[in-house]
Amino acid sequence: MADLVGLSPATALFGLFIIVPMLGAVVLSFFRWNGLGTPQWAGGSNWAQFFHDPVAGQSLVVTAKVIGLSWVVQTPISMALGLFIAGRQRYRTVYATLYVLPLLLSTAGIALVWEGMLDPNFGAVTALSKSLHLGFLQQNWLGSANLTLYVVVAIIAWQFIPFHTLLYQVGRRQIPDVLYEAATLDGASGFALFRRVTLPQLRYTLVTSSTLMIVGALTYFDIIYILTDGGPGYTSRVLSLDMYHAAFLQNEFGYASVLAVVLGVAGLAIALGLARASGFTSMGSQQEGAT
Amino acid sequence: MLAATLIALIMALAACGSAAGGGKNGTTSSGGSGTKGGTTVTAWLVTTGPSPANDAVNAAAKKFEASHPGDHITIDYVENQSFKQKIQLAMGAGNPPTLFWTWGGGILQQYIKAGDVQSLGNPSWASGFLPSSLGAVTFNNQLYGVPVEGTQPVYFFYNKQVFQQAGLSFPTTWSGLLSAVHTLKGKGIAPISLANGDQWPGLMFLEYLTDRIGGPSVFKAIESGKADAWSNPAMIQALTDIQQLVRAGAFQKGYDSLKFSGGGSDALVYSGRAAMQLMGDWDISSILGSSKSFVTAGKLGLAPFPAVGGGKGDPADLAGNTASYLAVASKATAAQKKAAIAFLQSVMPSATYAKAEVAAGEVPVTKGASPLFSGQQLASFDQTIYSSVGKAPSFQYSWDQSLGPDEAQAMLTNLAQVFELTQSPQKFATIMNKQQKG
Amino acid sequence: MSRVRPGRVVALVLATVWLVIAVAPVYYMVLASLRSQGTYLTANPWLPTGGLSLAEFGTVFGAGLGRYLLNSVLITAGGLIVTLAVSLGAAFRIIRRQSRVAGALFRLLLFGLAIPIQAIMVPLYLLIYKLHLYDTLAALILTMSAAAIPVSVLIMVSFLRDIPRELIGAMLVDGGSEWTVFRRLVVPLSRPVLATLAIYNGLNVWNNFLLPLILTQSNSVAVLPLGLYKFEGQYAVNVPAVMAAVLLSVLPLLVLFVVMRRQVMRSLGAVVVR
Repeated sequence: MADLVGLSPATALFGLFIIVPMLGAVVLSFFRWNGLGTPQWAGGSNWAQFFHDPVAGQSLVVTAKVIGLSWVVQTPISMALGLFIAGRQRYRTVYATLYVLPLLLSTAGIALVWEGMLDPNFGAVTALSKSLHLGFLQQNWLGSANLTLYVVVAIIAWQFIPFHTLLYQVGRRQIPDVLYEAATLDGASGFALFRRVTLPQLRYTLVTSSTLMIVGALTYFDIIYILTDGGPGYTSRVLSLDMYHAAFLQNEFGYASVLAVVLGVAGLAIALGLARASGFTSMGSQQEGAT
Repeated sequence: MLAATLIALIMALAACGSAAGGGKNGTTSSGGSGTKGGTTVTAWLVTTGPSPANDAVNAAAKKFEASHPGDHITIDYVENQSFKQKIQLAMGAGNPPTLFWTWGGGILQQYIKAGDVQSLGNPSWASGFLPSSLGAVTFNNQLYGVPVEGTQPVYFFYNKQVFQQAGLSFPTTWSGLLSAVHTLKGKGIAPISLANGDQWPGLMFLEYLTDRIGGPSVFKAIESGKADAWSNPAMIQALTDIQQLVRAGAFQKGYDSLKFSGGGSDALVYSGRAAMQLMGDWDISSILGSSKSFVTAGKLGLAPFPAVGGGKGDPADLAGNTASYLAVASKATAAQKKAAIAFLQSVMPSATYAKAEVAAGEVPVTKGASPLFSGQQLASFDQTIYSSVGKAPSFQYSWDQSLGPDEAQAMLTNLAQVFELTQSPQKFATIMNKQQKG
Repeated sequence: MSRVRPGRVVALVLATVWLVIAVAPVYYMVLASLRSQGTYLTANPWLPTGGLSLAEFGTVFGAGLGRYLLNSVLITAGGLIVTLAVSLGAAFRIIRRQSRVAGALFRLLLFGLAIPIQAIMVPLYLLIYKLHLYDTLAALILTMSAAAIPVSVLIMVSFLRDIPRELIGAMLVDGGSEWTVFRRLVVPLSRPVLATLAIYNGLNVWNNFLLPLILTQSNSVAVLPLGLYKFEGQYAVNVPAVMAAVLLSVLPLLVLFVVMRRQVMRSLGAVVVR
């Protein structure tokens, strides 16, 4: 029982404000409720609706795309930049400080800035393309079925790369110089050094960064909501946005809860998968062995 | 231990933070925090920014408090999108403010059905308002809301200079509009500025076209839930006309992602890059805020939506928001309701309040407001709007407010696809018919 | 080292390209905040032409930014103290007591890593309302802390795991209690992991929009991200004012970051490399 003393504030808080509402969502997913009056028992009809809802299906795909693309885009850039600013030169310190700027801005501000910059008529990007005669920069950035999802992913990357860059920067700084010296003596240089020393040494950094990145990507909401609200059509409608629409614009709280549960389960699967892959659960299994 | 102490500390701090405000919620504060036996009425209004319209309401509340010692009115202003969630959650939890902002129509009706709204009966003081302005808040011959801010019909707002230079006057017929589009396009000007990233600006075209082609009864049938009402030939024709406009290149580049809120669609018009915009009358003050000289130099034109040849609708018909309203929550205490209704009754139909509204740039829906406009900066616009509302045979409330929320959402999303040419008029009608049954 | 290698030049060029990408939108933002609603769109977005003024900064201050700032500081500080204190306690227990209960609880927390806050918004609102916490800063502190616990515990556990058991054992033999170990050993050693999580969670709380939106209503408890929306009207947004407000809200963070950079770096380093 002594175990519970140290754990209790954490579990109490977490249990009360996260687990209890989550169970509430599970229960609500079996009811029909417009947010007013008494919820009506609906059996599995909300769930049946989910499996026949093309919009929900598409938003699952969009969510998966956002997660995958975010990781693919953010990881290499963050790592490269992190390694660069890990250098001790003074100008790199300046770079490092400026790199952090996007991280500090609030999402609402970021959305407005990009909306203004990407406006096809008055936007800064359009102005640039006109003065530099770069025709390809004149696009309907936020209103094109083929392009907009990628623009959104890019803006999310712009916002979050600074944080991951920071992680990689300090990760690199912790690698002892002797390892590089030894590898150099073995005749390694350039890319071989990176592959044989840097990358393996950054393994834990990679895991930490990827976990935060992927779990974060699953729940991106604010910026997509403000920038495109899922449009054009449904091309950038992620699951969390779909849930928001169901709950607060269509007032179908029962169906929204189905989406919420799906979101929770998807997140859980990802988290468990990551934990397994990265050895985070070694703590758990170690404990099992001990008891 | 350490954790517990810290938590206690923070909670205490946080409690200070919130206690400072007072302004607590309706049902819990029947005694009213610190009001010594008086009644605190809470009110949620949608803000139009830190705007003069808020000042009019605030001043009215202050005045009411002065004449009703002990009563307090606490007003919170909430941004438009956020308001919709907050009010829905608050209603569902039985925790609404005493007075809440509403646009009337389908959403208000939903609250009424759930027993959340206090009926105001058939008060005699309601006769102080223009009759067309109360339709959106009248259900079963009972009044459920009182106009708090002015009327917002939709018109074409255009750049007079651009039209002049193109040798055009503003068209009064649909075919005239099409040929104007052609002419303007030829001069390298975007004929119509459209902020369809918000989806509701596109709906304004559909509302007017349907009315001009088939008359007000087309939408009335939809509203009353008549089967297959969306497939009415007038509706299909209206949707087809919209796509014809899109194909003719009537809208500026990026019309499907531009949002009205950033001011981009206004800027197109006053900078002369686009010729006109179909928008609610708030566009006047919006443009005034961005480019004062454009308005004061008389370059901004206002015109009704053109007539469609052979159509059944009266070209004097209007669409838009007849007004915005305050309704009384039935869950409030008897004392709160009494004070709230007294506030609505004594303030809203009064000439003083109408005057304050006019001063704030609104066009009130109070009867006999005509003389109030003289001397106002935008007097001629206000006068035009006020008299067109008075004369309109039909003033159709915005469809997205008239319909229930889920049907409205489906309509907006699917209509946006019609504007993007990714959905045919027939498909739109089929989807909406199904939505209606479901 | 003195010889300029081509790889280095390429790296510098690419890093500079990113620098431009990172800074250009911020520059755009600064410029826009100095313009008016009328000129921010029509004036050249890259050149400081067409009449710049600090007027909108005045608007923002006049609209009560100070109050929002204070509330944001309160919930961020409160949220961080609660999150870090309870998470560290829990993490310490988890590594010390390797019982079935502790294991199960740890896995329950892992669960929470994946639950997005939007998914539980509706029941959470009802819960907060029933607890009479609606419209208080406490509601924000508690819910945001609860949401931050899983990530924090996870990272702390993987950090604390590496404290040599002998060190703890020795202290216990010397007559120290678990509490002494926690206070004298675990807390000081955990400084780096605390710093990392403070940044990560702190930024999340500082910028959180959704929870304050649904759990508070009064102006007196409004936080910065909500405050930004006060400049949005029913139909129009005063974009320059919002930009000014965003810049003002970034300033404290930027100063903090520059001042504490060295410390942060050192702390972060101790975490990510293990």
